[in-house]
Amino acid sequence: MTEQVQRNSPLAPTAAAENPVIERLLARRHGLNFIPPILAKLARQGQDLLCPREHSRINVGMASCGQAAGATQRLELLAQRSDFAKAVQVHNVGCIGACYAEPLIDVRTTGGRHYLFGKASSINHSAIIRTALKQRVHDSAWLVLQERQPGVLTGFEDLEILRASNRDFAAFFTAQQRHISGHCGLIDPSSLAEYVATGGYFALTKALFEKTPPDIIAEITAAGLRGRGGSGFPTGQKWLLAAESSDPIRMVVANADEGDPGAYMNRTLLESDPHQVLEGLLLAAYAVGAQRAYIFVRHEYQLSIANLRKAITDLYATGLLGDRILGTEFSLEVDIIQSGGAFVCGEETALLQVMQGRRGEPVPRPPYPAEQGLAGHPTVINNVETLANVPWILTRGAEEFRATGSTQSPGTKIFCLTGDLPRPGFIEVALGTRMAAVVEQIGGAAAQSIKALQIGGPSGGLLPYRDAPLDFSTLKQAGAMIGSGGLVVLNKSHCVVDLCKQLTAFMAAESCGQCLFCRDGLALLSEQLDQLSRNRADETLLLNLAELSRTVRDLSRCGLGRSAVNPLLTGLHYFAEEFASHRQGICPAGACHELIRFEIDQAACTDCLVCYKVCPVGAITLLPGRGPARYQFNDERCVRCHSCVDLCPHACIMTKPRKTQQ
Amino acid sequence: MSSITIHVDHRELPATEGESLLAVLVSHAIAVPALCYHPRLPVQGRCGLCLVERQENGRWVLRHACLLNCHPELQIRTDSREIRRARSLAAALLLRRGPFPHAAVTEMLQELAALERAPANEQDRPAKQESAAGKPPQPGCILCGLCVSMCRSISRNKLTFLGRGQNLKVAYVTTMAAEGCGSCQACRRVCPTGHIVVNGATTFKSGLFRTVKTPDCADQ
Repeated sequence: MTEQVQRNSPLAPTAAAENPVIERLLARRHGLNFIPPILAKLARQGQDLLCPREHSRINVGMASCGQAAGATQRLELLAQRSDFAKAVQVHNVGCIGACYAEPLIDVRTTGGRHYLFGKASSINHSAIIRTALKQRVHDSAWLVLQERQPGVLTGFEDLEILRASNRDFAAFFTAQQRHISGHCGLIDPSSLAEYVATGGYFALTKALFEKTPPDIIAEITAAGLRGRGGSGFPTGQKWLLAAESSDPIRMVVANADEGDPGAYMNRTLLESDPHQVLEGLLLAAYAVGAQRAYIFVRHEYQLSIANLRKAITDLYATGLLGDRILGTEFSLEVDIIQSGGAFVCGEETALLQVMQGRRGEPVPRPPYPAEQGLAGHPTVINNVETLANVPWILTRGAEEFRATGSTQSPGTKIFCLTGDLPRPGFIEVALGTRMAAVVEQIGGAAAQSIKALQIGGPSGGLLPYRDAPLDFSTLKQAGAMIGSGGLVVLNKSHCVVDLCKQLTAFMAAESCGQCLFCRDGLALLSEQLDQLSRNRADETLLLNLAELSRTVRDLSRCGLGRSAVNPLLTGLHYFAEEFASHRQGICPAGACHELIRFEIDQAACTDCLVCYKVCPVGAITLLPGRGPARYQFNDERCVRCHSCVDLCPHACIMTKPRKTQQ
Repeated sequence: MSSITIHVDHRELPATEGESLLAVLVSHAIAVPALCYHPRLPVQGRCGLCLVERQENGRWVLRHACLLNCHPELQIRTDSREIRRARSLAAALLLRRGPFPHAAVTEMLQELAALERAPANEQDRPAKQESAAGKPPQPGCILCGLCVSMCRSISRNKLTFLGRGQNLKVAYVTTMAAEGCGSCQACRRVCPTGHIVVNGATTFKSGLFRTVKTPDCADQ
């Protein structure tokens, strides 16, 4: 009802309302009896920035995805406005997750109301400005959210949906559980104060003053947190291994060397909320008794590195890093290490080799890095996302962490939803969520159009689409793995053999080359798959494929080599008939170039000449006369670019198998 | 380092704990083919031939003998259909890196490759060779790593691996100083295939650094 009133009239000034005292509220939430003055000061500063009492705040999503969609220009246009001087503050924030709706602009007006505008452009520019200036609240906001307690914004859970003009956009969020990525897209990643105002570094304070390192390890173990980087190793166990070591010099490494094509959760986390990762890193270091910490980032992630640098400088300046953190006995130094970006360097032992200036080659385990790692000292290596879970668990407790997800895999997981679906993006759901909820509800794909899901990057698996829960054990049974969390949705136009070929070729090119089977075996496999997709395979090829890929899996030294054939093995298992029909020279999906030809549906063709004009190689020729019959396809010349198929206004160019089925 | 006994093919062999299994097998003259093994150099684990099976939870699992460390309760067998099959696969993969200057290596690999080969496979041999469009960068080198390891162990550090995947190769590190590789020929002596004819510097010409001047520099 209030919504109705406010929509039609300029918003009543609510500037008089005082914001709640944020640091006390946060201290109560964390069960903290004592608030360090620096944190209290930062929290109040951050609250004034996040929830300004007298003016509006505009958040422009300026993560890589936003910048690619043109957010820089939108930010400039908004920041330059002279009428904004007193009334509106413009900030850049990270990515809220809805990558398809970038550039995304969030307008917070006084009173704690948020107006989200997706696909910001010159079309809704004036609506954004008017909303911010509270002249007229425009209907073109995709989503209107209200802070439950105006002036308190500690994450997505403090917001409730008032009105959803864009239902798809609302559906993208309602099925998610934003725990770890709860601040992404709401706070300025370069501002320490804003992170503290959302409850940041309170978990660290609590840990430093009121908990011992064994308490923290016990809490993480009780929560059942499993590594989010791929293998799902229990984090508590890893920490305990290092903490029990007799070596007093210990290290912690945050692994942000994300190599999977189509996966970008580490990048988004570091671009949108670097402090949460750093807090997790500090907590991990405190728990295992480390004196040094490193963040290993790909050098391509320049924005993440810039944000991390700023965050680390701020922490040193406020005394949250360095010698005697917050006056306690705990000291820590953090360094950023940029990697060259080979896929294999994400493997923890290879990562350590790179950090020591050697070739990025995995070395056999045991000894595990947690026992003997960097320069022989116990080194705990955790994925960035695993570390981001740590402050959350210590704030809310193991019980609440276990409340989401399944018994074997508690908590939430961030997935990167890409592929053939209308709403790709960076999402966070509870582990064990049904695939249908993710793909159909969040991604908005139609169930019947989906053929397969490719989970966990090139070393994950190709699974037929069906409604199964997404968790570590279910996927492992199916032969795939969660991996880092890439989720590629594939529709019926994709050929499994072609996909396996691409993925195997990728893994063969990225193999470090130590093991014969991974290096040459994968190369041979991709060669054989190439033959299969060209109909040059012999009878024994399918058998050979299966045997060779099993040998590669069994005899490679590191986890990457062992899982490199996962797509092929799952493909052979679940899509056996597709492989068999390639043997016959028929590609059911019509994707393998050498197995298809095009034909014009004479009945539907209107003789519009589009295909003739668009063909880049002149494979379509015209006979004298008029009518559909004059089109001639020259199969020899055709390069299968599908331009004619895509551009034909009547969809009358059909993909046919080159060979007729016997 | 305590003395223990391990079980190999129903025999009990004395071994030292932590020692590489392949070293034990070699010292007892148990025939396990290997190309990347040298008693004085660290274990390479790169040729993929020294396959044996280890008992793990009641199942026989294929493992590289050189990468297994001896410990009590180690149960090994060195011959089975699976081992022969995997070895033949490894040998076939190695043969793709040929031809090898040492005829004995080629013979051994061909013999191994033929061990468990299904008759139908013989027919696709020529087809495979014809389709091998991407020739290895160094034909004759199986990337066993012995030369690199040798050069490092005598502190010359002139050889290194370069690249990854199919582009992996051994490279000679050229330095600004005019000193050569030293011609100690240590790498030649450990090379199993005879790929190194004179010394590392002449065989592995591709250097780590490009010494060619860029056009811009030449203009100035």
